[in-house]
Amino acid sequence: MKLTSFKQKRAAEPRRLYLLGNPNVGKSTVFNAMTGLRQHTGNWSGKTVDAASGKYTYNDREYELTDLPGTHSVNSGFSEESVAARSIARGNGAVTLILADAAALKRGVALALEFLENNGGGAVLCVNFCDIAERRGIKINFEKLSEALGIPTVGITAKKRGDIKRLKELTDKNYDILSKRAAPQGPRSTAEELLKRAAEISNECTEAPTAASSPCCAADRVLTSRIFGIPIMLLFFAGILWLTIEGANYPSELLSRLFAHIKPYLAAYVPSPLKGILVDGIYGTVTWIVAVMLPPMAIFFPLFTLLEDAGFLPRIAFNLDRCYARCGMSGKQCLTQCMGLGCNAVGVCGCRIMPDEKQRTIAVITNSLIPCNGRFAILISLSAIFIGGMVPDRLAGLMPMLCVLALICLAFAVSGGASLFFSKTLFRGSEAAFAMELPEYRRPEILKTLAVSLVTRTIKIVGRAILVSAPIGAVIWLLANMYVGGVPALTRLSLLLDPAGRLIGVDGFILLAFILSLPANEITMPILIMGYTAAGAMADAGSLADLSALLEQNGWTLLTAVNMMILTLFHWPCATTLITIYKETKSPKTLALSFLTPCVIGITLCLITKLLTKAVLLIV
Amino acid sequence: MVIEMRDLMFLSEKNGEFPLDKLSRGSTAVITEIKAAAAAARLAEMGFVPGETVQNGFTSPAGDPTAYLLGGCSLVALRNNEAKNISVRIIAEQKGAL
Repeated sequence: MKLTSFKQKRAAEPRRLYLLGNPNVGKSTVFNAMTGLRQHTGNWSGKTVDAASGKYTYNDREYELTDLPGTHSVNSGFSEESVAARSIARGNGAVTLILADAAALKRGVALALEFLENNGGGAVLCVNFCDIAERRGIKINFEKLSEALGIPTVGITAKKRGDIKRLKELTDKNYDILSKRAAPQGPRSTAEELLKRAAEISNECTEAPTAASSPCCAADRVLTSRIFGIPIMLLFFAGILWLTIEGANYPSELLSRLFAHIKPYLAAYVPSPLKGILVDGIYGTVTWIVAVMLPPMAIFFPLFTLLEDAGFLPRIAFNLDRCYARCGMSGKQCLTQCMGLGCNAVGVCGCRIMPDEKQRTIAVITNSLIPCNGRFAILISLSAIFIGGMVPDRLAGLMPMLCVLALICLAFAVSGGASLFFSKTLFRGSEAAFAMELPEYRRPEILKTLAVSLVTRTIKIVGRAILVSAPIGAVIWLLANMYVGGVPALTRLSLLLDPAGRLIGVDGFILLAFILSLPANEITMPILIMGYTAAGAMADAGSLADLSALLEQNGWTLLTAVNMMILTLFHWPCATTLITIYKETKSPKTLALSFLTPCVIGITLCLITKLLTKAVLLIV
Repeated sequence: MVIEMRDLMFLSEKNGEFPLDKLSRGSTAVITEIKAAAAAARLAEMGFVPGETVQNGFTSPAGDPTAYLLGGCSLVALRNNEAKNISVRIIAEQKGAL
């Protein structure tokens, strides 16, 4: 994670700061507020899996702040937590900001005590979420706390700018004294002793109403109840999908009309030898991606981020853990799969939260069975054309949503089945324990979340898609316009693949589109469209109606559409994901399995649907 | 079921201790011992250490895992086969749901 900028390299060494805290005490928020950076925060532990660092200047002094992943303990062997331990061991001569949650002060004090015992007094205790604690009537005496621990202590609300400034001021004032404190020698206390002392200290320093409201709230009782738990989750998800599909319709239509309108003007300015490749090749591909992908993503991801920030995702993992346990996995896999819905490469990185090596490898391999946003757009448009077209108009909006929901459930089920297969065959081993923190529900900062998720996720992902698709658009156009023996090269290639395609109920163009879209899944449809309109120009298939007509002209049936959707779900991970898998696991075996597993599943399912269709046709 | 109840009563007669997974919903207990040595370190990291209070918060739709409120401040989900390694002594019993 490269977040430090180069221009800030000055002669003087920056003062080093570390940010340490129990999971889910708002470290990433404090980090972002202090450094002005945008590390994505999520309301569940393990969101920050790698240490990130950033710089800020206060009082003409430069500081380098390193955000450590959430930790329960300074001495631990957990892979998620060892990054924290290592960094602190190296951090001699630095100051550590220990972050605590005001509503769970005891845990924070226990961590502080453990830190002080192991690393000495070079620390500042910073108590976050003071606003929430205040609302609950909890009062903390910071002077007393500071005295008891022997380190400076400050209470903040990370969202408030003034509070962050106070934290910076306190750090600045005490840095010289604190950074020189040496690590003490002596016996270490046991966890039990530390906790007891922490309880004493935090009790002395806090005044809480006797009937303190507990984090088990009514929402949990409903969300995890036997009857409503699972249906509510599905309803939430269906709601998001419906909003996405319905909401994206209009802007998509508008964008594609706008791009079609601009096209002739653009064509007039481009010199004619380049017109084909620039306007029909690159402009056609890029605008298709923007018109079709951008609107659903701009709606889906912010909504999904809101659920994530509110603390909803860990409850899903909690509800479904039993299903995952049956597959030899942990409910945490659900979190990695949800990340995979955004981008499989991100999901693969997220597999670090899995409790052991075996589960991590399986989670990595099965992650690309979950459709990422690039494939999402294909599923949405195909189901709108083929499934939406089969039902009366007033249901047309609902059907694609149900269809996509069903496909996603299928993807999760297949992913579970594959996990079960791997945990029973290739990667045997004891079942690792499941212990997961369920964060408190927090009201997400709606506007900020929307803005950040639009910038960090949507724009970034669409930007990458455009960068990849522009050159490929040019290549495809060349292939479509290079005649080999009187036939375009693209058509020739697809004819080669056609027998294989027919065997699994699709055609050569579809297979070719999947092969050529290895760099990014988003460009599967544009390639397909360009292949079909093999004259080279992409017909203005921006709108769904045009696309529908084009596909039907090329002999698409319901079977073709269904198998195309199956292949969209299960073919092979895109190049970015494959590279990430190798970087994360350094294992060629895992890489090969990640590639082959979806291939085999997709082809098998396509063969099954084809045989079923044949059987049905024979009977009818 | 009958045998389980008898086991439980035998245990509670002995020294008032029983495994955490038998703690009824809404009831609060104090941790007395972590039985499996291998799991002890990891459970301690999550905050399950002797002396800490633990309340059965709520259970997932499938009956496993269960979310425990540790020390009155953090919610941690544990599977039943983990929770049975933790011995607790009851301090506040609650009948029915939380």
